[in-house]
Amino acid sequence: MDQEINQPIEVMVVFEKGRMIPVRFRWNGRVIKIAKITGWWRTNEGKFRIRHYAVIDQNSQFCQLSYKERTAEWFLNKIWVE
Amino acid sequence: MMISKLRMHKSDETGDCLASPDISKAQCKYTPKEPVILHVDMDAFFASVEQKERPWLVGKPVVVGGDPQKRHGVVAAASYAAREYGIKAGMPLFTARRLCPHAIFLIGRHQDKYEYISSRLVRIFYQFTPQVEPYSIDEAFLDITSCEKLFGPPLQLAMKLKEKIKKQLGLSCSVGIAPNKLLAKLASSLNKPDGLTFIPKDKVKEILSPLEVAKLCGIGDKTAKILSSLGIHTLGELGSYPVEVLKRKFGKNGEWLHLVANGIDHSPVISQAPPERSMGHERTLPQDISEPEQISSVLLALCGMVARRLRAKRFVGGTITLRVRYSDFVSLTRSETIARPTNSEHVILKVAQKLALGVESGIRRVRLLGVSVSHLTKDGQSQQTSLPFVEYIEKRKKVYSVMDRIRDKFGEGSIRWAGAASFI
Repeated sequence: MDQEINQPIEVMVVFEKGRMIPVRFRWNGRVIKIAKITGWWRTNEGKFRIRHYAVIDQNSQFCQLSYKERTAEWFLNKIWVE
Repeated sequence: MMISKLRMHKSDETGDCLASPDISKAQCKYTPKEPVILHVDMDAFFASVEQKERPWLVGKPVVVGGDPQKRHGVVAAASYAAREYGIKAGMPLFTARRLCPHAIFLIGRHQDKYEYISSRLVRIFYQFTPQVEPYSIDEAFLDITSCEKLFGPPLQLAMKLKEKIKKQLGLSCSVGIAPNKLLAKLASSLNKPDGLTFIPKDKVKEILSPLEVAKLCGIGDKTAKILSSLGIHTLGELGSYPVEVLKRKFGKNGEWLHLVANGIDHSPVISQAPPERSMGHERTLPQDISEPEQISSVLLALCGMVARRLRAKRFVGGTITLRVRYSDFVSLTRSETIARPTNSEHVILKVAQKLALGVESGIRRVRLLGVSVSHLTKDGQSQQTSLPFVEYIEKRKKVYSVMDRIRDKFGEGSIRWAGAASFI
């Protein structure tokens, strides 16, 4: 099941063909490599966008990240726990 | 070109409309002048979106549901594996847990995510035809009558559409093709998931006749029960039943029943959203309330949301409706029409509070509250009369305008009235 985390994280991204793609992030001192983006969507906070990413890391763990354009902050929103 | 299922309702021997996966050879009897309507229905949409994000859930019973802590404890969507246990949308989550304790429950559905994916889906539809009528968040009708030159025969177009949706969104859908919307919707439901079903005009009766009446969109359980009492169980029986008797029993719906049972539907694909007739918001409260102050606080929040939408679209509304559901699930609605249509939350609130007094909302415990405004007219079109409090009203309008601008920039939750419930 999903577990809410909602903690700020540091994220390394690449920009490719006009798209911003997170490739790894640091959470609780650990660097987690993103193996696959399995979903993405956008929401709005007023006139600012929030970009959401559903990803699978190198250990096949599901994580949900978001990037708030207004504050240029990344968050780890959810992880999957058995 | 791969597709998991392709079932045609025409015998293979005739070759008119193929059951063969070799779509390039598909020859349809439709001429460009005959309407060709396509209905697209996403397969277990919410559950499929979640399964795509978490690939190990594919093939497992997955239930997407509201948050029971917010008392939204109903199933929003169930995967096909979950449906095998009898789990259906709208069912209480505790019932779903009882039916399939080992199902994976994803609680706290994400409407904004599903709406975004739905908007991407609609953009795909528009790549095929400008005649698109979104029917719900995961369903749409497409009029592809004149699209043959661009995309080939209807079956070929449908295959291309399915492929595009699969490639761009990673989701499967079921498609129905038929001469009208009614039959196209029926066709998409006959072969789920990942189906493609074509009902040719000359096979309509043959296909409809053995189907149960409730299979058709618009014939609900209640109507089916009445029909059953008349000895009508299948669409064939309904279609040949004397229309005069149906009219006596169902009024003007009697004729409609006769037409749809014979596969007749002239409703067009309407690509423009119909004009808005009302705007409203309602909320199931985290816990039952009965104190008038608590009720006013919730109403102010709801009225604020409604008024903001009215102002954003430059509408004013003349009729205010309050909806209340008590803790025993009994629901009531009460309306009042005001002399001067408004888009002020405080005017709407005043009427809603008055209506709330009339429905014992301060005495009985309330589970849900809703406010809506109807009889909409464009702001400025309503009759203006001289008011003794013009200056006061103008001041308040300025406050609304500033609050709207703050919300436009920083989001809906960025500012609220001090008296408004914060959990709404």
